[in-house]
Amino acid sequence: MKKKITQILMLALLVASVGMFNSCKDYDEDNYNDLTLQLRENSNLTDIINGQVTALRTTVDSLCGVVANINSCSCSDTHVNDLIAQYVATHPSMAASDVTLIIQNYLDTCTTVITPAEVQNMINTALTNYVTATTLRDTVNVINQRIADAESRLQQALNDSVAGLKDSLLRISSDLNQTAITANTAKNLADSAYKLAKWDSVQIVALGDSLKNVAIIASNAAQQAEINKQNIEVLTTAYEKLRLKDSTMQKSIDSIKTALNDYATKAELQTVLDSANTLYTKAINYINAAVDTLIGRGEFQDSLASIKAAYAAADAALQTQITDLKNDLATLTTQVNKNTQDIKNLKETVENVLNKMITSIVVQGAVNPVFGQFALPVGVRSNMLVAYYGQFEHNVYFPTVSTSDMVYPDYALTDKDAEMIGSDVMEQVFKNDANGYVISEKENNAGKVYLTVNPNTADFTGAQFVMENTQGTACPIELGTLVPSTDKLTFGWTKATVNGNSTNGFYEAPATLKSENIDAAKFNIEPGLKATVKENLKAVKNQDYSGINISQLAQKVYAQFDGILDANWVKGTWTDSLGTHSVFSEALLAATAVKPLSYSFLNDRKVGDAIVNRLPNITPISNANFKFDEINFDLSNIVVNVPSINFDIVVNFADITLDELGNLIVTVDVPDSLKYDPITNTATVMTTKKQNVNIENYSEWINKLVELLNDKVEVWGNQIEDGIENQLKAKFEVALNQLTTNINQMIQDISGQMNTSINSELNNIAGTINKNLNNYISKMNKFIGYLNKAVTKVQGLLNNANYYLQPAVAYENVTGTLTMMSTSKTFPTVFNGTGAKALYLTSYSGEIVTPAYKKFVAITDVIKDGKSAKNNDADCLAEFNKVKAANKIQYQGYDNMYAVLDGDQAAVALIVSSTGYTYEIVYSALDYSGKIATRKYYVTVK
Amino acid sequence: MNFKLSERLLTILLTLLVVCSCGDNNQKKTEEYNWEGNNIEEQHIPDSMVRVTVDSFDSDSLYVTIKSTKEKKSFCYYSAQNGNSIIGTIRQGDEYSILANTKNNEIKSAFNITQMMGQWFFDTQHSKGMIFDAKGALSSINTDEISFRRWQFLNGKLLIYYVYTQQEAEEQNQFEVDTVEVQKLTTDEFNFQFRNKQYNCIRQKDALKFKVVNE
Repeated sequence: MKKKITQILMLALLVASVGMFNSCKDYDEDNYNDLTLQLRENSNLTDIINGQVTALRTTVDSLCGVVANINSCSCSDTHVNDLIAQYVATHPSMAASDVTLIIQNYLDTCTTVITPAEVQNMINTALTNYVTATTLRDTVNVINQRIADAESRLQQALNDSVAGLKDSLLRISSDLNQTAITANTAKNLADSAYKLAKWDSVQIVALGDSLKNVAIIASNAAQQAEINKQNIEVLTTAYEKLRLKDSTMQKSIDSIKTALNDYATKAELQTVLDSANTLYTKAINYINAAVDTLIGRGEFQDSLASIKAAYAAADAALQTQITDLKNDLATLTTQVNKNTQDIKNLKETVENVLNKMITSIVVQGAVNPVFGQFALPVGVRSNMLVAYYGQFEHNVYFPTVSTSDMVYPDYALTDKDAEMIGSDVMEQVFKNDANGYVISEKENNAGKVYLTVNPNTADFTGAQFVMENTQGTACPIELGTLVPSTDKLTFGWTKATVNGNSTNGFYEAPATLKSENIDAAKFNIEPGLKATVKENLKAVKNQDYSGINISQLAQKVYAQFDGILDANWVKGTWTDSLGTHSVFSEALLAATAVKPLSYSFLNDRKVGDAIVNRLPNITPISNANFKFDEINFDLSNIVVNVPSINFDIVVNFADITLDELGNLIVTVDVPDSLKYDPITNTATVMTTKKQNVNIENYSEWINKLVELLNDKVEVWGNQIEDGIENQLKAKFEVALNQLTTNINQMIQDISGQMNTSINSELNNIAGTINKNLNNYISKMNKFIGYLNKAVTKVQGLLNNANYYLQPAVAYENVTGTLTMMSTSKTFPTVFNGTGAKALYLTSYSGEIVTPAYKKFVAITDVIKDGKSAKNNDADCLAEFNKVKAANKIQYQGYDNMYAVLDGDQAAVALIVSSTGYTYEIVYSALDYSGKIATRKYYVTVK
Repeated sequence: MNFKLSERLLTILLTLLVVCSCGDNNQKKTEEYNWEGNNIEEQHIPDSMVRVTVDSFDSDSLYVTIKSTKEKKSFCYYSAQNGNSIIGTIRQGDEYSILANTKNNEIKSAFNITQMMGQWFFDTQHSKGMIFDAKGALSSINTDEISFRRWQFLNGKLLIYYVYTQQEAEEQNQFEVDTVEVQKLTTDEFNFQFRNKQYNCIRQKDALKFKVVNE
């Protein structure tokens, strides 16, 4: 292995040695070859430069000619175009094409076939075909480097030649000295040396000439560049002249100038001696570009024609399609509009259906003028709608000075009062309507009902909400429009701070009873109710109320309606695109009408009087619906035989009624005139008369009846035998027992509902007093305790029951408690300070038992230091006129005085602006029976 | 060969004829048997039931008038009656939805629609119930969870459309529908199962009376 490597190394060394032996001769030959090549290149370069110079000069000349023609011509563009065309035709050289292209570009620009921007681009494109100064400098540097290199090599060659020559001479000399050289050999060697030297000299001279030629050529090129520069400037000038009116073209020319300025300056061009090469390249490229452009243009024009034709065809086809599309579009637009409308209709339908869809109705409760609050203070929820109604026996004048309808005539208004009030408001007429009733005309005269309607977003515009019983019979009390409710349903009924626009689905609707529906709505308990009179007398005869459980009693009051009245539901009906729909609530509501008691109901009854025992018979429901005449008592007439004569005393039961005072009136027909026949000793009844029998003390009545009969019989010389009274009493007791039996049976028939009504109503009065006058409803957690205390008040009421049914005026004292105003002129109520004060128009029973149909309040006198307006004291009269004027006007939602108010108006404002006076205030109220109660109150303002 | 071709053509023609005939029959049946009272035709759901009015009946047959065509027909209902497939009482003048075999004129099932009409309570204490209307409306009376909307007879099934009472209106884009499994229908009783809940309804003859509600 080592042997092989050694052999290879040896071989390489041998080859290298051979090369080294021949190196001197090769070196000379290489030098000569390089010189020859460079000379050859310079020769070609000279030719090329000369050719380019010639071409450029021709081009410039042509351009100058064109420009000259253009400059000398002041005619139109067409002419200019013709000149150019003519020039192009007569000078079909490449340079001319270049000119043609540029000018044609301009013309195209003028005709807007090619935009100025495109012209600018074309010019820029043409300019990019020129060689930049940097390129020129690089080229010149290369040439200079080559010249320098050639000079360096030439010098090196000369040096080497001289050195070689010296070496040859030295060798020759050495050889001559060292060897025996012949003369000829020396001569030959000298000749060879000489020839060689001569040859080198000739070559050097030739090379020097070549270099000189190059310099000359470069100088010429510089001169030519200067000419070119001048020509370009001329061309620029020509372009400027060619600018006609297009500012864009001016910008293009400016751009050309800028571009040209970016090119070599004159000084630079002068240093670029070999720019000919560049010019050549530029010319070739330029020409090629021009030719390419021309060719492309032609093709473009051909293509343009084809395209135009194709476009026209396509355009025609498109127009057809566009027309078709327009038609289609019109059709589609119509269809879309129709669809849009259909969708809109459908959407409205769907929204209509969805928004109006009511899924359920929940009755939350009711308030009414009778019971008032929503939840009774005994854990009973009020679901009743009750309206007051009344009947007048005759037309009633109100306010009035007449005493005919006054409960207490002593309190009646005087003529002087009327004078002070003013004739314009006195003696207004109130009477039964066409249906024979009086009833409030307010929309909520039967109260209002609270409902939750689900879903809470339901739009029930147009929906109808009616009450009907479960057989579909419409309720005589009608519901008004549902509105969002702001009421808060707790114990009692309060206004809550609830947003009226809230969408919690909680609504209220007024309940209205129209006069024509009273007959259908009024509480019509079976006629057996009259038995309550007898039955319940026993309950309170002992006057012991200590054991009364007011809560239970109140429940039982309400329970009177349980199972008696129809249960009504609220039916919501709406119609949408799918038809008519209904949703029903639970049947929770009762609706009825009651005729309240009169102010005269307990007139002049006091404790100890038998009639007081009937106080518990007070019914807030009705006292006018007892149709006794429909009852068949099956009572036989009372027949008593008078033995001494042929005469039977016959007492016929004519009628049994309950008067407005709560008295059970038994009317009988008793003999009034008799005819006696002495012959037959027979008496007969000629006429009879009706007499009311006091069933509480019928014995007295019988005695009187017997006395009457005796008086008549005595005329005939006869006498009714003793004991006839007992006979009558016995007969009467039989009849009354039968009556009682019948009544009791009827009570049982209605499940004893009325058994406790007396006590219930009594406690209802007590509860109402506490609620309305002492504001204890807000303290419901202590309710039972308060109610127990109220028992005492109830007992107090019994001492003068009817007094507490009378209207009263209350005010709120400094502790917030309602207090009755003083009726004493000597000890009037005292108000501190002037301003407005609310006066509450009520009664001791909170108007539950005896509500007012109409109310009237007025100041009738001003008193000071024993003087008064009524007595024409000037000072008092002036104050009277002032307060009268002030109180005729409504104040902050309160009703005003000197006007007849609806019975449910709760308060008026007393407005005074002076101190030191005592004011006499009249409060007069008209009840549903046409009875009037009036009181005067006195207040001193300090 | 020719025979085979003719045979094939004949076969094709016969097939087409059969197909066309079947299509016509189906269409006719759909139109004929749609129950117009409930707009079934809007849904294009064929109903094999037919609505009739009973003109008279005896122990075996019903003599009816088809409501849609006014055609008088008689059907035997003996088998249906023995198979407890008659829902409701057979009464003259009442309207029924019947499923019948038209070949032998035998009734397979019948439902007394007239008897179902009116007001039914499944909870009289709280007056909860429903009212069936002859035009297909179904009203809720104090129902809790759902609110009835419509009723419909389709292919022997009683359907009830309803919505949920508490769902928002904007979410109520469709009614719910479920079938009703009727167990008993008499003049005064109507028992059925709906949505897995048993409804034993009675017909309230008299108006419900007001009851005091204790808090």
